[in-house]
Amino acid sequence: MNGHDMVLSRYEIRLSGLGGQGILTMGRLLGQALALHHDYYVTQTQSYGPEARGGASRADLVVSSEPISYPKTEYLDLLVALSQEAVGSYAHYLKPRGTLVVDTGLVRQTPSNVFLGLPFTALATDGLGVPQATNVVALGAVAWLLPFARPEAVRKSLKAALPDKIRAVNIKAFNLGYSEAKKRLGEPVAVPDPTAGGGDDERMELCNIMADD
Amino acid sequence: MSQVRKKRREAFLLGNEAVVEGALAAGCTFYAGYPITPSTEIMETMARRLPQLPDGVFLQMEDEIASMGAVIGASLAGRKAMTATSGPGFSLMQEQIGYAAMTETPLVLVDVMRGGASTGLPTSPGQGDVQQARWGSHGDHPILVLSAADVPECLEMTVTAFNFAEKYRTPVVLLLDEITAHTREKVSLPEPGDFEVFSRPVPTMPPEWYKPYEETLRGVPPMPPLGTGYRFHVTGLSHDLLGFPTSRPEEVAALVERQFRKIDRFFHDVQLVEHVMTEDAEALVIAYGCVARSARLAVRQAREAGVRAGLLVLKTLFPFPRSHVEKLLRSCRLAVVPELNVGQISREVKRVNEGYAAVRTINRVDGQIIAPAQILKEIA
Repeated sequence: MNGHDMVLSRYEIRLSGLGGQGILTMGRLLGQALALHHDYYVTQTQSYGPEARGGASRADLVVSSEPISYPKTEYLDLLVALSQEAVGSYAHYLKPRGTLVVDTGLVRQTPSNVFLGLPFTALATDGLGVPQATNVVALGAVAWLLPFARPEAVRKSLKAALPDKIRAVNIKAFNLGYSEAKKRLGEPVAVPDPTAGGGDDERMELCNIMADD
Repeated sequence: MSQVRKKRREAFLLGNEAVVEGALAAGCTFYAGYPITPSTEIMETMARRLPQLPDGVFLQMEDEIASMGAVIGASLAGRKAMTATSGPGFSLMQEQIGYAAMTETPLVLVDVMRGGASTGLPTSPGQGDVQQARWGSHGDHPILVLSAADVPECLEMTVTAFNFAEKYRTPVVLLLDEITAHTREKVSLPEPGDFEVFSRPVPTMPPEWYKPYEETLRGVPPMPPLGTGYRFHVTGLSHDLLGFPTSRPEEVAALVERQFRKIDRFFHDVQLVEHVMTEDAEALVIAYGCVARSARLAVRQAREAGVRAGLLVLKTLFPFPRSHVEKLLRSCRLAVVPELNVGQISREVKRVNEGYAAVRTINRVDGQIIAPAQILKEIA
């Protein structure tokens, strides 16, 4: 709890990839950090196929300073895609100024050249020798990119959620993702300021959705 | 209050996990079930939590039929007992829901609704079990059906479900949907004393005077745990005051009448709704479960666009909160009922409408949630 959180109005995040990459865990950890160690309202939902591994997998988060009515995401502010399929399926849900983050080792093609990328899987495999920590490396990068997320809060949620024997390696993975992102991805993303006259954006989106129907 | 308030324990929980927190806060010590998506996390969490209690019992049964049997048995022995399932399992439990209603055995059954009939869409949401929850078991029987729309409400409504079950000696069905059950949100964990907790009335007379199905002021006869010296006979057959089978018309009629009356008389207590900006509403949305959350956003957006919109969230589905709905239908020009089925609560709304308002339905049965924009389009 603290009084210094940025004011957010429905910031929407989607973490996506393949079953087995730890997408749902990543969503839970990020949600936990934002809900329990910040003062945000968070809804985290998920979608997965019946396969245990290899199917499409995604975790969605809505983060807001106010209570959240509709729990699912509509249009994304941030999309993290750890597979080519995920980019293909979800990139068009990004808002015009939304941010796409991909695993450059696994994603060959992006819909435009406006994206941020790090080789998360390679970083986990070569840097740490633990390919299973890919999701936590990506989580580290997300923690850098989100200006309203405090890295120590995410670390706290990581420590609370993981059993002793894999805690150290995951903290290492998180720090690696965080520092690589800081080094190579530039400044944290800009977050729309709901207090700055806005509202028009939201109304415009609304029209878009209605036009779709 | 000069006292420094103790920091509350908070957790980031699934709706399913919040159900377990609610059940434990209400005094549940017995769970028997058979896992099924999307209710499985209730069973998994119970399997972890119940054995930590001094008298907690967790049983994995061979199927849903046996699960209900175990829950009824545990309740007769004095436990607060529950089970959870989804559509296919709910169908298997129907027969014994009737048995619990007939024997007036308190229990809580959570049905996390998924899409489709039969095996349908196991990992997608639906709201197709609404009428089944009311009328799935044969014969005229009273039953309470509740719902919840978000994660804190899952906790709260589970406590309410146990309280109603105990207070009225009746099975209570809590209907959730895949979205509510699988959404994670912050919940403050209940401390003892946060919720008023009811337990079934027990007899105070000497055992030899006890008549198990005797009329009382509230219509709810006291219920001793089996094995405490009070002898009673339990049967699904129509029974007399002593609990033995009877087919004498006056005794049978008296039994059925009392079973309905014990709930009918307390409609004001059991019919829970939430009003959102309904005071001056012209366009009303009536919703429950995850769809109520979409409706909440749609109504807010409609208000911003200058439409006098309002939302009535149904927390009790049956007995249908007729008085609340009727009153609003009289003052509204339009009522929209969005549901993830082909129109199950809208039937009830139309039944009580009597031509006051235009009733429109939004029905979605493709395993996807109704988006706020879809509702907005109908009311704006």
